[in-house]
Amino acid sequence: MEVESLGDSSKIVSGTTEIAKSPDRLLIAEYVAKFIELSGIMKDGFSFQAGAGGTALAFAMFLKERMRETGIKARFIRGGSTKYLVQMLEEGLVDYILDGQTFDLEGVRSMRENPGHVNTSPFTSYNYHGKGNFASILDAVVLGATEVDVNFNANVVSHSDGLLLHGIGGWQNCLFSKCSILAIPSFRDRIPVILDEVTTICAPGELVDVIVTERGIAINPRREDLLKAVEGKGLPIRKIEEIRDEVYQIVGGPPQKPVVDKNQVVAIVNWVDGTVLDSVYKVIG
Amino acid sequence: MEMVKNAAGRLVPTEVNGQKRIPYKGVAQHRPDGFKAKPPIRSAADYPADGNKLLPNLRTALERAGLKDGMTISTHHHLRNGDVVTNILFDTIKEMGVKNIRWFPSASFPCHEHLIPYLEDGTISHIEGSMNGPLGRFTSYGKMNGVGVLRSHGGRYQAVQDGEVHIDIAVIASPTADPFGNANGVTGKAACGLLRVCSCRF
Repeated sequence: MEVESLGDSSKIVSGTTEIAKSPDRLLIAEYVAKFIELSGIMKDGFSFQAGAGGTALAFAMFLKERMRETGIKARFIRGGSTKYLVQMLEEGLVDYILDGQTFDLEGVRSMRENPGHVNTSPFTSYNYHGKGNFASILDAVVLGATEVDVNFNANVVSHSDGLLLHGIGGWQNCLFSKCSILAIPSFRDRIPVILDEVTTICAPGELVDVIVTERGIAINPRREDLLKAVEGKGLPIRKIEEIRDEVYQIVGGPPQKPVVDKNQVVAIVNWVDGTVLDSVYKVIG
Repeated sequence: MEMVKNAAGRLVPTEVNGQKRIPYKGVAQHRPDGFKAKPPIRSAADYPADGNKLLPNLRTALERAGLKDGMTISTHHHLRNGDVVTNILFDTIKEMGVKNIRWFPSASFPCHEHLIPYLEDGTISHIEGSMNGPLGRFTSYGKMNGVGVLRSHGGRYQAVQDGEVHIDIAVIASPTADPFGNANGVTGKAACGLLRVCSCRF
């Protein structure tokens, strides 16, 4: 059936699709770009994915500058496309955008006009029970998180007060990249982000490779190859516990545990294979 | 609710909304077996000979699609926080007096706060999909009737493909379509780009 209006197309650019402005977030984005360059991930024919969060968008800007200066070209970028990725495609810094979702109107225009901006299905590329899953081909992916813990487990759906406020999107699916990077501030509104234990597990720690904060970069000890690759490159590599302790000291310790009713599960978090990874409980008060 | 400790060390229910659930076993530890779910067989006899599938309004479309209590309805989130179609959809379902709908969105946004009265009055039983903002808060305080199920985008497809979720009706907000039902998202005044997260393949 036909309708007069589907809604407001200016609001399809909503929530997370604006570039970061705060100096801390920009520093994080710059560290991520440097990490990708100096670890050797950035080389001719590489591929990456960055989401639509402000920090991820800023990262793409910094990486673009480094690619321009070094003359290195990427084979493909996995979208969520934005005007920033479109600029890279139009400048010839990348051969293709493999898009799963257009995040802004420039992305829409580019997809309409540019054969190098390819419409791909998140169903086949993200479905873990299928042959067309290409998440693992990506050389690097940059994601956000609400919390991470010292075992590199990460949360993307709830906050430290226990409230469920976000969806998973393609986040879990992207973790299968060759290098998964969480670009996060070490604290938000005086609440530390690196904790002893996350409120809700959305990512098993073994799939989280690097955590980049404004206070330094923590590499998962399982990734000895990455630790070796960045040795002596001048990056602020630190142990995750060290960053946690420093922030605990600044903000006065870990956040209070949320007051929840453990007898009432209000939601479950599925893993990519349909099994149940964690429970979200009713918040009291 | 029976809870067991999974491979991540977390307590998870073994049954949710009346369906058996498998606790997480570790990365790449769970291998599915069996066959994929399949869509029902359709007949061209049930569609207009002139190819024009256009109906006068959403209510008629829902009636023709056989909307009943307890069905699963899927929507997509390409219009993000600018979506009004999902709100109109549930306004219509409420008007029709249909209850207990499982809403299977690829994501919800603050614009969908409009649906909270329908979660309260039982028009919608529960949400299985990403909840951003007000609906997540509503769920957190234990106000939703059923248990929310959060999945990744790939996990949504996996759930449909593996037969965990059967979508009865998928409602697609397409910026452009022809009378036969071919649609795209790159033209039209509400152009939103590609439309590939629509869970309508089954």
